[in-house]
Amino acid sequence: MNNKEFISKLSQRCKFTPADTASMTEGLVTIITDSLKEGDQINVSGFGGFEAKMRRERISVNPKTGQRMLVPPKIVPSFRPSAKIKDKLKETE
Amino acid sequence: MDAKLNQSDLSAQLARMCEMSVTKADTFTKAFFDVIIEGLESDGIVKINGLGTFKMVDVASRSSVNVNTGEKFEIKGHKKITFLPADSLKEKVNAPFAMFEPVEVDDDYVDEPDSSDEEQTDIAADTTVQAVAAENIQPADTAAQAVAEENTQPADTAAQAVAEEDTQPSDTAAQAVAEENTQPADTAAQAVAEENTQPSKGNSKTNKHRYIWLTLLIIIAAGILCWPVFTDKETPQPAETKIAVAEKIETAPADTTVVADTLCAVDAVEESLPFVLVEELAQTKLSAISIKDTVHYTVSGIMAVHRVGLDETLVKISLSYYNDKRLWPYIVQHNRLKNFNQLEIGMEIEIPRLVPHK
Repeated sequence: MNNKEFISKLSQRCKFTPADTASMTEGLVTIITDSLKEGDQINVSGFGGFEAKMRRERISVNPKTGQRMLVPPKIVPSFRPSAKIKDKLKETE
Repeated sequence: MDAKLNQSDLSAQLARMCEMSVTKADTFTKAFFDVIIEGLESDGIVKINGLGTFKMVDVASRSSVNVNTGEKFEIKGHKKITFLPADSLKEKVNAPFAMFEPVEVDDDYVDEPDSSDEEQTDIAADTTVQAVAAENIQPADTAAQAVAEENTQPADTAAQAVAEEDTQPSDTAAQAVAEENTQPADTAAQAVAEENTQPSKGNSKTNKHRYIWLTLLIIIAAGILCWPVFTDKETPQPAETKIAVAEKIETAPADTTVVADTLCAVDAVEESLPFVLVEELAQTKLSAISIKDTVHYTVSGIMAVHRVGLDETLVKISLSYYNDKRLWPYIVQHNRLKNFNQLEIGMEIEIPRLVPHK
């Protein structure tokens, strides 16, 4: 399911126009992005949580050339699914 | 910062942003996450621009052990939800660290936080200085012998004596530390002086064997005289002088072949041999220190090209390539380093391949 399909399905469900749905989706995404940027956690019950995680610097080795690289520290957005969604998806198997 | 937002917080923010009622925004956010779940159920993948991709991933079944009972059991394969953040999201979240870039790490850089390492290198430096000193003394000794032999033997031995001298690592003499240099120079001068007085007394053929006999004795005497001077200075000395004596034995038989025409001379040299051997035996007891150090190497090709890193010394480089911190003079010699006390970071040094000299 790509972005287009996602928006069309969402618009059907909420009975909004696709254009409205697209702009609202964009708004929601910017809200999530901004709060992650601030270091906030987002928890959506029944779905999961978004969080920005700090990764420390490390040394990686290119196995082909043996060249070692110092990878700098970074902040990575991460998602952790809730137990509820896990169970739900397990049932569908 | 570090606040915890839930779905209603998101809806409130969205309502403010899009200027709509909170209830409307709330139904939208609920629908938003529900549709993601539905999409995962139906397609296994949901892509949202600006946020990222949610994906179902198969996890293979694997065997594991029950920690309490030690029983083996199998964890069944299942599906897992993964989230791959979009590039724009990653960039915005990582903004505080955006200025960092991966850096190449120098191949030979090793973290050495312990202070004991510094001590080690100090000791290493000491021993190498000793080694160099010893090497310097050795050629000087043999040079003295060569001179002595030349004085007593016919002229044709000169070439041989020089050849033998060449086999010594005499080239290291170029790196001589001034302090160490004075010692062998003195002894060499002394030896030469003593030798020179002998032949001047008389050259008659009948007494020739006596002179050979005498000069050899004087060499030994000079060696014994110089002995305390060497020994109280450094411990590895005995090993070096032992080599010098061994060298002497080597030169002695070589000489006998040259002077074979005069039988008496042969006798004299042969008689002196046991003497030297006895002396050598006495010295080997003193020189139980590793004989490996005294092996001479010849350079055959280049083993590696080394780029000098931070806090590296020739001793450390030698230790890492040869497993012996005393072999650094070969690196100096091979690279013709003029100022080997000051290595520059980033300098490229060729590491010669050393083959034990026979």
